[in-house]
Amino acid sequence: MELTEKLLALDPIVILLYLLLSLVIGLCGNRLFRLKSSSEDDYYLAGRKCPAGSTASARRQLR
Amino acid sequence: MPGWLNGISTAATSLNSDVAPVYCGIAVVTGLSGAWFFLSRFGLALLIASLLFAVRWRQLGIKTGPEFLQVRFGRGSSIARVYTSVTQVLIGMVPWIGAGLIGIHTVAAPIFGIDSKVTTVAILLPVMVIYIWNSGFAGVVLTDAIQSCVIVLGNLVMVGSVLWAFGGPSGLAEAITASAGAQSETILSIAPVPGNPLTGPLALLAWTLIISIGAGSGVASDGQRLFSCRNNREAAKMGIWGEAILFLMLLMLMLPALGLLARYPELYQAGPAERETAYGRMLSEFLPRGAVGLTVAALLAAVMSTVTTHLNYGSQTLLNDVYRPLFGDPKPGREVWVGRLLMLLIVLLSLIVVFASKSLLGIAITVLGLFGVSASFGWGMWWWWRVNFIGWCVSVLSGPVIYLFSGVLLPLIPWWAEQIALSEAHAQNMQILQALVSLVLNLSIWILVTLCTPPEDMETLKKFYLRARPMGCWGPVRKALVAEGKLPDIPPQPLLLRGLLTAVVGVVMMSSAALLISALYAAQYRQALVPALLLTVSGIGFKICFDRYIARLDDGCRELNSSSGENTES
Repeated sequence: MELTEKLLALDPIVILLYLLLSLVIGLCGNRLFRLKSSSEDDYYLAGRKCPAGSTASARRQLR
Repeated sequence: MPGWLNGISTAATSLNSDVAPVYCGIAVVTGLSGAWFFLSRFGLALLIASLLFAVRWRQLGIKTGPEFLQVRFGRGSSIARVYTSVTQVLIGMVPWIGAGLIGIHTVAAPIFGIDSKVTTVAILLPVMVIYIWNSGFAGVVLTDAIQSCVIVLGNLVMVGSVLWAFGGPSGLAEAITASAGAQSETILSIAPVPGNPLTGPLALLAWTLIISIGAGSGVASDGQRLFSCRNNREAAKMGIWGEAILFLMLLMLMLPALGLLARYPELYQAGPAERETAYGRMLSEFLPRGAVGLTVAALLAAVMSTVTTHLNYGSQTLLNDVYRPLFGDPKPGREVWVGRLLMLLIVLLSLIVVFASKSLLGIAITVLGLFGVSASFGWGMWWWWRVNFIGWCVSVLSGPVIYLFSGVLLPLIPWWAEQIALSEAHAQNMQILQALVSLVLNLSIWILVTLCTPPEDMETLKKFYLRARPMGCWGPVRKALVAEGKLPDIPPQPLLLRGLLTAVVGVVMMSSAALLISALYAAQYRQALVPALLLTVSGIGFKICFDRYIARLDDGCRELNSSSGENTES
């Protein structure tokens, strides 16, 4: 039996619910971990603080 | 972030839309021994990465993997940093985002009557971009946990449906025996079958070596997860969780394919093209009504976890390793906005892949193979003080050249040509061997060049040693630091060997678990005894070895921190 023949009205609803759940959980991600979306370390490393110490020497080398 | 959550995220990210057809296809031509296919590829490599490198990466206090090159090398390291970041994004991310979106369109579009790729992309991409834009990495990791649950749920339906169709594990085994005749013995064996091009001893060894050599020495999105772990122990545990969950997901994809073999035993001899249709046939044969939505959601979950991870990490590395070295720090408070704009650039590049011809993906896969040949240099950078920037340049440049030349020269050997002519599957195996030969040649060349050129500046090496605490051959650098009073005058512990032994015990544990589940699924209870026993012994052994090893790593860090006056969070 082809998959299209097994399709029920429920199936698109399951997919829609899944997408909606992903969106809501994803949007709440930073709030659940109490992170600021404006801070680079919060946004990319979930709050772990890392100094960008080697940026200046990198620029000097490339120039 | 806890290690288990990052581990789940890593496992979900490893799955893309092509995984289900590929692994299901492997399962129909290997039977119960199919687990060896992924055990040989990832078993040792992922454990080496988590036990030998995870803690060291986290200690470095860097934001991205390519930034490591800036710490390890002196002159010229910025070029290496920018180059690595750009290749990570262009070769390791953009094609896979495109492949994921094309893959999900190929599967879902015919089911739901969607004609155009534009519709599929217009439904999926905004959802992902909106939540990454808002929540960044935290949003990605949290949704990955949801994606993993959906993938496991979707696969469980198939696992259960096949057992239901045959009346349980014994019924499935009887059906295979009845339909496959003499072949059923090899189909129902959990041991690798000699002569099978996918799980034969030579193929398993070649895959283990090609994937494990260099494992853990360079990081991309996995590094983002390592750096975000709340302490060293969690960082080491992340890879173990990731491997366990990844193997479980792959097993759940592969084992139901036995149901297909019970009905169509001729599939056991299928070629690469035919075997990849097995997943679609399995869904048509066994999926119950009302479960199509969940199965498509599971495929979507695999794609979304991969795409969101790439988009988020890709923008981070472009910001940190390309934008910063070239244009300097963005104005305070604008870093995230620059990162978001760079994410949109990656989206744009991926859309070009989606709407370009399929051959573009083929090129990307070949290029990926070309760059993999230089992997051994990664271990060199961590474990040998003598490795220098010139060696890096030679390794990166000569790797692809050697790979291309070996592709022309090796088939001139009669045995090699005979193996290629045997079948498409054998030819694919010879490609892996070609990569292995190229890797060894590349290794010899960069070692030779390194020995003929001066090492990095001692001050750079001393700074690196104090930050990274690398294992392996760092005697002269340690001596210099001891002489300056920056290190205690005690011999270093053989952590490299201990870590490798712990990884081997871990591989035995993971392999036994996978083979035990495989044997139980098809009621092979006698065969299950050996993996059950091994799992018990290696499980206890791994727990003891892991705890002791991590304690020693932590002790080493504290000693060095106190002697060098540094303050590293743990």
